[in-house]
Amino acid sequence: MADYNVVLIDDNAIFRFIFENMVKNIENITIDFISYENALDALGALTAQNQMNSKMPDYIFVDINMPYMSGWEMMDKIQEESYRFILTSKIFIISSSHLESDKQKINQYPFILDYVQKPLNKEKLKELLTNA
Amino acid sequence: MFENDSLDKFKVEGILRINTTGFIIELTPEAQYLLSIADVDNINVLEEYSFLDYNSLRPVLSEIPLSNDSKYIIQVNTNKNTKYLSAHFQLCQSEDEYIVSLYDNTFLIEQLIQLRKQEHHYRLLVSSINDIIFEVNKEGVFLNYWTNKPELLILPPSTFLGKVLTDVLPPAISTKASPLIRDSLENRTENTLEYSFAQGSENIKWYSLTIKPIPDNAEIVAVVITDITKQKEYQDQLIFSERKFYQAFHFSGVGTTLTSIDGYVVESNHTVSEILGYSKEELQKIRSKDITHPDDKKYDLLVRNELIEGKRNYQTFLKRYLHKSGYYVWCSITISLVRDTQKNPKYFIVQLVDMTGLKRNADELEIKRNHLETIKVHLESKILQIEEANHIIAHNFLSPIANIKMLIDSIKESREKESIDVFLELLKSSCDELDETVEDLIVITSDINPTKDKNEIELCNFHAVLEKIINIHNPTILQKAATITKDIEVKEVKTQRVTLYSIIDQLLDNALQFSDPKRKPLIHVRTYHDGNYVTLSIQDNGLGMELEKMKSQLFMFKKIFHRGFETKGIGLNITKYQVESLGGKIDLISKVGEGTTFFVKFPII
Repeated sequence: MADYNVVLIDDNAIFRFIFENMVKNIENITIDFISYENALDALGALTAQNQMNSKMPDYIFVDINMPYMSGWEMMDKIQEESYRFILTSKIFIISSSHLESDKQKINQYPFILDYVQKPLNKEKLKELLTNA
Repeated sequence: MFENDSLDKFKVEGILRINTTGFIIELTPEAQYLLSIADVDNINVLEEYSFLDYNSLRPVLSEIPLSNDSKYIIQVNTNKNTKYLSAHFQLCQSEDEYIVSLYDNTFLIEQLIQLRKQEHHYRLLVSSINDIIFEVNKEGVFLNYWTNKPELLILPPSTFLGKVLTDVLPPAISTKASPLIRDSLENRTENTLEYSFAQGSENIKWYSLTIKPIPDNAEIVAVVITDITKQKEYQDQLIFSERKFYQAFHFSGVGTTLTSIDGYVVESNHTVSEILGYSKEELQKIRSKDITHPDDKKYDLLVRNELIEGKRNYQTFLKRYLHKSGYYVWCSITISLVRDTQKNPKYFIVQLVDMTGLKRNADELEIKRNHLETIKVHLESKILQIEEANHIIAHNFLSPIANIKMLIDSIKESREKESIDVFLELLKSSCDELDETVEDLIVITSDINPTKDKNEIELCNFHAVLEKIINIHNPTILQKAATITKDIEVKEVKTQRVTLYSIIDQLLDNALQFSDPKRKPLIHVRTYHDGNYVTLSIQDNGLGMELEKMKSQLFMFKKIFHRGFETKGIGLNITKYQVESLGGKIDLISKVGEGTTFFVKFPII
């Protein structure tokens, strides 16, 4: 039984690979990791899991700039009735954007735990997972 | 009662004796008659009658002083008339009684009183005039004078009374006055002469000398001298202000006319001629309304009527006058009405200012304002582009950099060669990604700072531009068996050729690329007028989009809307900037499964 279930939604394959490599190599913690290359896929999968009464992930990391549906559009979706079950997960925004306008935007969504700036290292990730 | 009318016919002298206190002791019948006494007992003449002063004929009001040789006039009032008796008091030797001789002097005294009254009236009359009146005979000798203000006399009366005018007055006056006096006597006419005296250096006094014949007197004239200094000063001021008005009128930079109530130009200055081209003489032959623009006549007439009715004192408005050369001149006119002392309208004063220059300036200002507006739109679009560039840097540029940093960390930590090789391969990919993003950024920033010749506005022919673009896309058109139809209502637009080319190219490319595999692509290109814009529309029957979801991000960088199409998504983002940099707008309608239509609006320059 893994300590945490972690989901990453990011269109950048290289980052998904790096992130996966990072979560799997954190000492003393076992993590189940799934990643999606876009928000639509993620929403579909999570809905299916919910219908099967599966446990929701402990952590969801969402990129902002993605095709079809941006991270912010996904945040809007989560507030809708049919996706509200996702709120049981702890949600982070993860982005390379240094823009204040992006960083401030998480205040519009009180359920977002934090804004995580790329690049990310193992220590920071461990801190996020254990403290949150 | 002692009544004897026969005595009335004589001048009667009566004598009586009184004591020193005035009681009658004894009197003759004549005296009794004169004093109109019925009963002589116990009568005191001093108390019974009014005593008048012998010289002034004024009543003696206080106790009547009696002495030897006293003379009084005794006023005796009967119910018929009033008698005036001269009374002469003589003290007897015993000094305890007076002998009084009475003499009826009524006729003379009455005349005298009448004369005194007249004299009094004359004095009142004279005192009410501010003039000096001289009585002068035909030889020019001063006989008499009257004045209420003796200080008006420059010379003391003794120096001129009884003397000839020519000896008294300065020759400049007397030489003129003498013939006028003779003229007045001979022709019974009134003559007036004005002259001035300098009193001191600056104080000049003006007088008028009027010679009036006296009725029924061929020997004497009345000479009335009046101080007219005030009137003279007023007159001078009037002449001065008339001169000022003349100057203000004729040398004004504002065109000014006096126009009669029926509309004729009575007087005008040269500025009016400069503005309207007509000479003063030509203007006097035409009516104001004859050279007023037909559309301005009604209001002009309304204003004039309101002025006449007293509804307003003046009015300023813009109107057009027909210039002599046949074109209309815009003038700002201020019109006011002058009335006479009876408040009747006399004439209009119309002031004109040529507004053509100002209007031209206003037009130029409008052009400049439009130019500024275009620049503002440009700048706003640049700001948006810079914001967008910021966004690209934040997401698309920093993303591979973040990956590179993390990959380097991972390589450092890795011990197995295989995993290092994987990371190195990913590092290469990240560098390629970064490289690609930099190239995109260069394209975008070169559009933010376009070169000068790219900015050049020229007349572009839609047919020609479309022809070239369709030729380039011919391989794809043939491959997809696409049909392109055209409906070019507006043939040309003034804009930047290179940018127009790029916009149409991108939109046509989009239409061809996102075609629905289930049907042959049909693309319709149309140009038409739409308000202040020339609109270009490109309609396809392709995949279409869910606009409610997509529209906000449609023109964003690297946005991909259709799965399975490998495009960079940079195209529409640039197209939007290009359209905005031309001062235009871009919009679209779309429906999934039916197609998309893009509308590009070009401003008409």
